[in-house]
Amino acid sequence: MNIPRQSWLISRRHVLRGLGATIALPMLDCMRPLRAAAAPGAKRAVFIYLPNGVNTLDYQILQTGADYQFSKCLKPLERHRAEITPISGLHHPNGLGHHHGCQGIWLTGAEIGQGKRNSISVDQLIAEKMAPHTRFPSLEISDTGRSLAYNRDGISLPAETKPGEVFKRLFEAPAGGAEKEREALRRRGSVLDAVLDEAHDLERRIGSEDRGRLDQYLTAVREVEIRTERADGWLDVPRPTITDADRQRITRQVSQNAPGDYFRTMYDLMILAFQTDVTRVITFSSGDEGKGLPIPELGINQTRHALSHHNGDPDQLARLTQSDAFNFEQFAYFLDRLAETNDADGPLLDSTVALYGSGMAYGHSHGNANLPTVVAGGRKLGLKHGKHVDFNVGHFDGYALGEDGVLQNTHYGICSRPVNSEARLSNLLVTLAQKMEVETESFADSLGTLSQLES
Amino acid sequence: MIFEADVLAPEEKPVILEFETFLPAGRFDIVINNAVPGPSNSGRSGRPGGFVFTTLDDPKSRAPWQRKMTDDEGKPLYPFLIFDWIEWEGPLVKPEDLEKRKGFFPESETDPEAAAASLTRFAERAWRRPVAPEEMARYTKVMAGETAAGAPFRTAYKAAMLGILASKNFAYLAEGSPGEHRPGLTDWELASRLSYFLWSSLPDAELSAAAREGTLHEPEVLRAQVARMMSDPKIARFTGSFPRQWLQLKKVGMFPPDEKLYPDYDGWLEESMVLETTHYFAEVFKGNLPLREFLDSNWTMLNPRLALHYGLPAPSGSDFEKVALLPGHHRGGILTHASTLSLTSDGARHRPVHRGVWLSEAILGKTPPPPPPNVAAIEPNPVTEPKATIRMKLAAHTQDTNCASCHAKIDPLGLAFDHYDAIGRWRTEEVVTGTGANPPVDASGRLPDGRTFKDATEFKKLLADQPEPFVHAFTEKLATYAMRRAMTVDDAAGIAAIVAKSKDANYGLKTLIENFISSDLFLKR
Repeated sequence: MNIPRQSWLISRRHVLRGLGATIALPMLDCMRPLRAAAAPGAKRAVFIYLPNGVNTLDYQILQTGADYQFSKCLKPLERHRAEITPISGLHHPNGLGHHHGCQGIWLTGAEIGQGKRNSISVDQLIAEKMAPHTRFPSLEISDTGRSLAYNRDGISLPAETKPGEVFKRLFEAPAGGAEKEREALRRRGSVLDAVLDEAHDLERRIGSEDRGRLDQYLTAVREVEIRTERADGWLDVPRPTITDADRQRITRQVSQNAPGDYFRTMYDLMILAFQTDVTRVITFSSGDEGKGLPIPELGINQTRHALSHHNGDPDQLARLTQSDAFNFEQFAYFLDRLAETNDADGPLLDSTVALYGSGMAYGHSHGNANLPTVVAGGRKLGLKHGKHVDFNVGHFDGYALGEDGVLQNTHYGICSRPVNSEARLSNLLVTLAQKMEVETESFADSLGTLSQLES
Repeated sequence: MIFEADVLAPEEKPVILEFETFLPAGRFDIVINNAVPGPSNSGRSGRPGGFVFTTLDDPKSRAPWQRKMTDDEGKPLYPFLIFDWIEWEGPLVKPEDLEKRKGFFPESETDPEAAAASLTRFAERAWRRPVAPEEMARYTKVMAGETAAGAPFRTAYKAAMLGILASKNFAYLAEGSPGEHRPGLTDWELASRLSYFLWSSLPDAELSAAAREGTLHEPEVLRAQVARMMSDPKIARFTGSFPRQWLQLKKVGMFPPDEKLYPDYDGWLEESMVLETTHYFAEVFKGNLPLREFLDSNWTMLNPRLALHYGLPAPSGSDFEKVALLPGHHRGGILTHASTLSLTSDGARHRPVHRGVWLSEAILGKTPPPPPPNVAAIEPNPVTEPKATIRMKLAAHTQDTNCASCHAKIDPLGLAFDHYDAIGRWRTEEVVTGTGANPPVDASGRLPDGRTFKDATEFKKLLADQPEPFVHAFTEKLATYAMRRAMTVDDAAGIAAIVAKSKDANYGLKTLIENFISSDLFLKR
C-alpha cells in the first residue's frame, strides 16, 4: 500500500515546485525515517501570554545581576532562580500607544493600524524549522480560541481551548483506520491539484494587484496541501501510548472557572506533548486581553482586564498582585514538571525554552513598555540563567522608591514610555529563534541579539 | 448558545417557545439555564452561581424544597422558570431545500454525459455565471480519477463537487477579466453584486434568469428586481449585517464589564443590546424612514431585558417591540443605544475619547489620526485626593498644544455622552475613587464650528439639524459594504450625487439605497 502513497507524494512535490514558491515553504522531508519517540538532541520552545500587564509596582525587580531579590509577583518563581532570567525594559516599538493590540503582535512585532496586516510570529518561524521532526508542526492553545500564532500571511491560526479536545487530536487516531484516512487524503490531494492548477492558470494572466489577492487563496490552498502531505507522511506511524492516568487527568471535564486546575491541566498536556514528541513548538495564550480569567479560587471574581483598570484603588491593586502571583505560580508548576520529566537526553527543562510574558506592563493606562518578561530553561540550546537582566539601567535615574521602600506612581512612566529605545522585545525573539536553529540575523524590528542570555 | 429568550408567563398561562437550530450529527448535552438579571435580593441563598435552576438529575443542584422560593406572604423571591416539556423535531428537510438540490445530482449514475451535465449545472450555480466546457475538464478529471481508484460513483461525484466549492471561482467574486478594458458590469456581475449586497448570498433563480437574458441592467428590470429583493425575507441579512459592520457592533462585550462595578450585566443583556440596534436599523429600513432617525428619535426597539436595563416600562411581549420614548427617558437614536455606548467603553469605565473617535468614524466619516506613540502615562487618582471625573483628567488634552490639535475635535463628541456609564445606563454623577462626594456629570461642550450644547439631547439635535455630513458618511459606508472596497477621492462625486438625489425624499433609507443601486457608482466597475 505504500506504492500509491509515494507516487502521489512525488506528484505533489512537482506541483509545489511548479508554482515557483513566492512563499518559503516549510522544509518537508517526508523521506526522513519516521519515529514515535523523541530523537536525541530535540529542541523545544513554548510561549505563554499573560494578559493586561501586571501590578508593576509589585512586579518590578529592583536589583540587577545575580543577587536580585524576587518581587511580590514573581516570588513563586524563586525556586527556579537558577533556571530563569527575568528581563526588564523590553518593548515592541510598534506596540506603543496601541492599547490591547499588544497581544496580537507579542510574538510578531508587526505594525498595528488601519490597512496594516500582521506578520509571521516567531513560534511559526521556529515551527517551519521543526516541522519535519513531529506529527504536528506546532500546537496553539488559548482560553478563548484566539491564538498568539500568525502565519506568513499574518493570518491568525486558530487555537483550541479544551484540554480534552487537544488530547484527542494529538493522541487519538481518527475513526475508520489508516486505510480510510489514506483514501480521504488521496481524494483531497486530487481536489487540491485541480484547484491549484486552475488558480495558477489565472495567476499567469493577471496584474500584480490582483495577484496579491489571489496569493491569499494560494497560501490557504498550499497550507491545506502541506497538512495533507504531512498527514500522509505520518499515516503509518503509530501514535504514542499514553498511560491511563495521564489520559484520565487530561480528558476529564476541566472548567475555566477553576483556573488553577485549568492551567495545570494545560501545562500537563504540554508536558505530555513534548515528552512524546508530537510537537516541539507550543503557544499558550493563558488569557485574552479581554478575557483574562478571574480566580474564584482566591475570591477574585474580576477579569484581569477589570483588575488592571484599578484607578489606584488599593484593594483592586492588591487583587491584581494576587492574580499576578497566582499566574506565576502556575508557570512555576510548569517548570517543576519540565524539570522532573525526562526525555532521552535528560530533563525536558534543559531542552525546552519557555518565554512567559505580557505585551502590556501598566494596564490602567495601557502602558506597553518595560514589558513583564521571563525566559526559562533551554540550557542545552545555549541559554544561561540566574541573573535579572535590566535594560532600563543606565538610561534613567533608578527606580522611584518612596521612603517606605515601595515603588512610587512615577514608575508607571517607564512602563508607558521606554527609557531605552534599543531594548526591543524582537531582540529576544530573534535570540530564541536562533537557539531553535532558525538561520536568521534579524526578526521584525530587532537590532541584535541578547548576549546576556547566551552561554 | 443555541437559543435565548425572555420568558414572561404567569404559572397558569405557560408559553411555548419554538426555535430552529443547526445541530451536526452527534451527541449533545443540552443545558437549560434560567438567567435572572439584576442583583440578588436574597443574598447567598437566593442566587447560586448567578443562575436559579434546579434539576433532579444533578446531585449538586438543590432540590426545590431545599430552597426558599417565596417570601412570608407567598410572593416569589425571584422570577423562576417552570419547565414542562421539550420536543425536538428533525432533521428538517424543507421542500425549498429539496428544490434547490434538484438537478445537481445526475438521474443516471452510468451515463457520463448526464453526470458531466449536472456537474456543470452545479458549477454554474456555485460560480454564479455560465461555465465553459474547458473549465469543467479539471473537475470531471477528479471524478474520473476517483472512479479509476475504485471509488463508488456517489463518492467520485462528490469529490468533484468539493473541488468546485474549493475553486477560486467560488471563493472570489470576479469582475472583469485579465486584459479586458470595459467600464460597465456584465449582467452576471451585476446580479452577484446585488445579491451579495442585499442578501449576503448568491443570486437566486429569478435574478440569474434576468442575467442570462441580458436584461438586468435595464432600469425597469433592475428596479423591479431590487423591489423584489427588498421584500424577500433574505433582506434580514442586510439589515442585520450592515449595522453590525458600520457601527462596529462586534466590539460589544469584547471587554466584558467589571463584575464588581456592574453586577447586573449578563450575556443576554449583551446580546439584547446588539439586537436593539439591528432591530432599529430594520425598522428604519422597513418604513423608509429618514436617516436622521439614526441620530435622534422619539422611539426605539426594546425587549424586556433592555427595558429593565434602561429603567423603562416593559413591552407587552417577550420579543422586541417598537416603543415610544419621552424626553425624560433620555433615549432616542442609535447614539444612546446601550450597544454603542458600551462598545466605546472599556468595561471598567466610560471612555469619552473612544466615544469621540467612534462617533467621528461611524457618524461623520472621519478617522482621527492615531495618538503619537510616546504619550505619558495617566497615573491613577490617589485615593486620598478628592474625586475627579475622567473629564477633569482629560483637561490635560486642552492644555498641551500637541494634544489639543486633535483632541479639541474628538473629545467634545464623546464627552457629550458622559451621562451614560460604561454599560449605557443614565446617571447624573460619576462614581470614582477618592474622597468626598461623587462629582456631578458635565456633558456640555462646543462643536468645532462653534455651536454649543449642554448635554447629549442638545448635541443630537445639533447633528440632526444638519444631517448632510452624516448622510455622506453613511452613503460612503453603504458603498464600501456593497462594493467590498474602500472609497477614494475618485468616488466622492458619485457619492455626492446619490446624496443630492435623495434629498427630496428626506433621505429615506430605502430611497437612498435604491438611488445608490441605480447610480453609476454601483453600476460601473
